[in-house]
Amino acid sequence: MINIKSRFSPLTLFLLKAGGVYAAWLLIYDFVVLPDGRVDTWLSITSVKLAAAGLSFVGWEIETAGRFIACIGNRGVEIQNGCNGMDLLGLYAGFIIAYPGDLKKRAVFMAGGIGLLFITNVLRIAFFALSNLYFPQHWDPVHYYSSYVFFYPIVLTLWYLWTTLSDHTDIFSGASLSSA
Amino acid sequence: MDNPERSYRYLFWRQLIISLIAIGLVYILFIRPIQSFAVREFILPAFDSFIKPDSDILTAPGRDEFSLSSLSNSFPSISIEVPFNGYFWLAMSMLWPTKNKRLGRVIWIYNWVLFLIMPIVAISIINGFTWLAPLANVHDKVYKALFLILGVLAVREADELLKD
Repeated sequence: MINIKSRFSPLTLFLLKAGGVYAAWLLIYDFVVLPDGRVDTWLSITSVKLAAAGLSFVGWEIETAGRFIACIGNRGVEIQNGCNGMDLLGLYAGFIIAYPGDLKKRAVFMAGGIGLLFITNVLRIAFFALSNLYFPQHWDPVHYYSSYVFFYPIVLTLWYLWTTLSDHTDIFSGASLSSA
Repeated sequence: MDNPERSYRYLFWRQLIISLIAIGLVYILFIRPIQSFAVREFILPAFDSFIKPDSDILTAPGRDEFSLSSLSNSFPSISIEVPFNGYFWLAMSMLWPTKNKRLGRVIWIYNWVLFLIMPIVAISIINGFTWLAPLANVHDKVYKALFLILGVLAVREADELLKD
């Protein structure tokens, strides 16, 4: 019987595990969650409502209808599946699941991170509504680069923090990608 | 923490932030427009030439990618991106300050391999191997996530070394 742990370096094992977690999540998402639609619909509509409530609270006049949000009198933004932050939540959680660490700490860190990313997505949607009000001609770059500005700094920082919190340095200390 | 350690770590983190900003700007201003031009003018027309007139496959240009979809929805739409895309540059912008050649080499080699994988997948789907589409979608997201993970691990390793 092949002993996988002695055959591969800790880094290779971790990457295989992370890749497996992501592949499983994406297949479940593509074939179960997305066709069902309930989670995506809830995420999109809730985020739109919260973004609208936040913007109304600070003084903008906002209208919403389902997945649509707009500053009154301006072009609206529709939060479609695939644009509601769901894939980013999976990206974030996949690393936390695959990287070794204490189970309880991991659960807390994952829930906290998902909560933070959800709030970030609400801010991003509010930013989309405002960008259509103040600089509608720049919609394409605003939309395309929004993930890089809003999500990736948070996801990468949280991943980094998890590697420091979990304190499993054997994955990268002197690790090689080749078999041991 | 003594001063040399603090200054090495400080320099490293400063270098990392500069690298992220500088490479981000170079990518947005120069690399991506070139990739978009290449997709629009050369790559997409080349793949279009493989599609028969009565085919069910539809191609559409994107920013730095093109998509393949089915008129009859027989397979999920997939996007074919050029290698050395934004995720490569984001990962490399984290790897360069760490001087981690080992992980950098992995990402470089994988991107060269993508020059083979992407056309083979696209041509296979065009020729009816549509079951590859969901796998291609999964591969597309998994390899990008792994690039980012390698970048973060390289940063963590470098910081750990500077601490010791």
